[in-house]
Amino acid sequence: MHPVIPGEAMDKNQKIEWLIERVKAGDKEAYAPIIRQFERQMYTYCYYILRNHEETEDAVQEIFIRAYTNLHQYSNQVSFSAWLYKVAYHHLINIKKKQGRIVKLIERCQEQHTVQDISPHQSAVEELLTYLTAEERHILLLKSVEEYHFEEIAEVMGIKPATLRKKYERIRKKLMAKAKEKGVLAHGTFAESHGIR
Amino acid sequence: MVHLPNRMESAEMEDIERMIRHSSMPRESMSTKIMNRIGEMEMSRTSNKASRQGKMWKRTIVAASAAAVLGGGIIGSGFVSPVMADALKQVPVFGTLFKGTSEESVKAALDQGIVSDPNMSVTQDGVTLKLSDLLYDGTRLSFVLDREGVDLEGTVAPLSEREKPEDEMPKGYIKSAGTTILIDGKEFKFSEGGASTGSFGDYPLRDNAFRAEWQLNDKAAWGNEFELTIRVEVTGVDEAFEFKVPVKIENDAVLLKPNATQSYDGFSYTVKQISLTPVTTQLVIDSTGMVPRSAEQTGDLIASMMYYDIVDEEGNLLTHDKFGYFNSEPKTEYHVDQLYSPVKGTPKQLTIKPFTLTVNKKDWSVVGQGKDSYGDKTYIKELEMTIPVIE
Repeated sequence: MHPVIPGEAMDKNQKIEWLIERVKAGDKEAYAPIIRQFERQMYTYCYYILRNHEETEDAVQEIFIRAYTNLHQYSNQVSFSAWLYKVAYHHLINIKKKQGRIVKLIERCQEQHTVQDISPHQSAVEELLTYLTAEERHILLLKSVEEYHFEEIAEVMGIKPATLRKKYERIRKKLMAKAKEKGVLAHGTFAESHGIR
Repeated sequence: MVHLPNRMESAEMEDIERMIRHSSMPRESMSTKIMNRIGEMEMSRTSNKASRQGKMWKRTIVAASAAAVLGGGIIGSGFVSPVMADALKQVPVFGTLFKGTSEESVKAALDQGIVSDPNMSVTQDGVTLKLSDLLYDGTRLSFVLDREGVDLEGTVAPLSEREKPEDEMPKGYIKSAGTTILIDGKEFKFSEGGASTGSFGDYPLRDNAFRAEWQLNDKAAWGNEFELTIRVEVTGVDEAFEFKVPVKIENDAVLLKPNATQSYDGFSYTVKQISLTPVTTQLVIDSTGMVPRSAEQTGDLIASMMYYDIVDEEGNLLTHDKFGYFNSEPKTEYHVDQLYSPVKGTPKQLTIKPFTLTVNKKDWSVVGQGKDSYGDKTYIKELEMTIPVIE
């Protein structure tokens, strides 16, 4: 877990809010540091939903552009992060819906899609995610990539925090059972490795 | 019954979450790509225009001619109505002026026909667009359109709406790509030069207002007097909105072409041009070579590209119109064409103060960037240059 220093967290949020104000005031370039702040985690989130790098790259771009064009709708009643992930969540749902219409064919291709540079983590995560429903994947990924609390996930997905807590419990049970069965997970196996940018 | 997780199991869940969080997705930052796409999106989409052109001619164009609509002052006549003069006292109200523009500058701009309030409006199908805050000074052309009769947040369609076929979109969005200008009846195209950038979008300080700006790099292309036609397309309205405005400015801008070069530590820049108008300062610079690094700029901390401040002899610092950050190491060649707030009066001399920001290469964050700061500036004294302003 990252150590959370309150002062530091404040500064980061303030910086984002300040940048947003500047973008709203017409300084387009102020949006670039906002992208850089979120893109890596956003990529991870989208990748594990779409499981295809090309589509992920498109989706991430689309999400940031969508957020930019709708920025006037953002008010800091919620955190910008949660607002941005809400845009992402709906975008991913839409992509999945469209894919669903083109039947399972594409999905099968995706499964066979060879992914280069798979990190050991990536393949283990991908395997674990196959045991979850779409909704469960979103919950787990949002909780993981941005270390969200249930309240924040609730904001993104439009589900009550109490319901999320129950759903998360179900996810945990499922994964623990699968992990034990497969022997993929033993506590302490996964040494921390920091992502390369 | 809810099963309570034992400590081991929640630690294992944390492991899974950490594994997800840290599964490295090794790739370069996409911010440049995204910013470029945003830039393209906001600019007149010339590629789409060709196909739209045919459709455009079939439409009836309802035009408001200046003579029919204008009540009071026409731009270029030097006449300012008392109402307008009052309005202009509150400088920020005038949406096309840069921060840091003095009242004195605005008066000069009015006298020279550079800023005006055309006060023209066109109504079609229940949607009204009012043209105001028109500015042309040879370095840029900007204006604001106020929209009435539409209950939509934002004047430009959000991307989610733009994916829909046009007939399913709500009525009343201004189409950025459908905003064109004609100079003496000839449609202006980015591809033909004359303007380097165009920006369109909601004017943030006023609801239901749309601002458009073209930055020019060749004033000669447009000159001091022309008939400006602004043509705007709105979703759900068949006919384009059209405004015809005569533009005439006095050529009082100070144009300097010093062609002066300053070099230090392998870096060299040449000031090609400085234009001083009552509402804008334009600086054109070519540079070559690697930016010098200070002692603090080592390791992950690197020097950004070179930026240039302009200071008058009284030490007044001009405000940058736009300030760009880049998530890449600086290149060795730049053509800078930057706009600043106007100078006060006519200064005897201007000093160009080159500076870099200190950037962390790991995440491209800028040291010292905050609410009131672009970042900590490292001025390179050896590269300073003073340019005399001769009227």
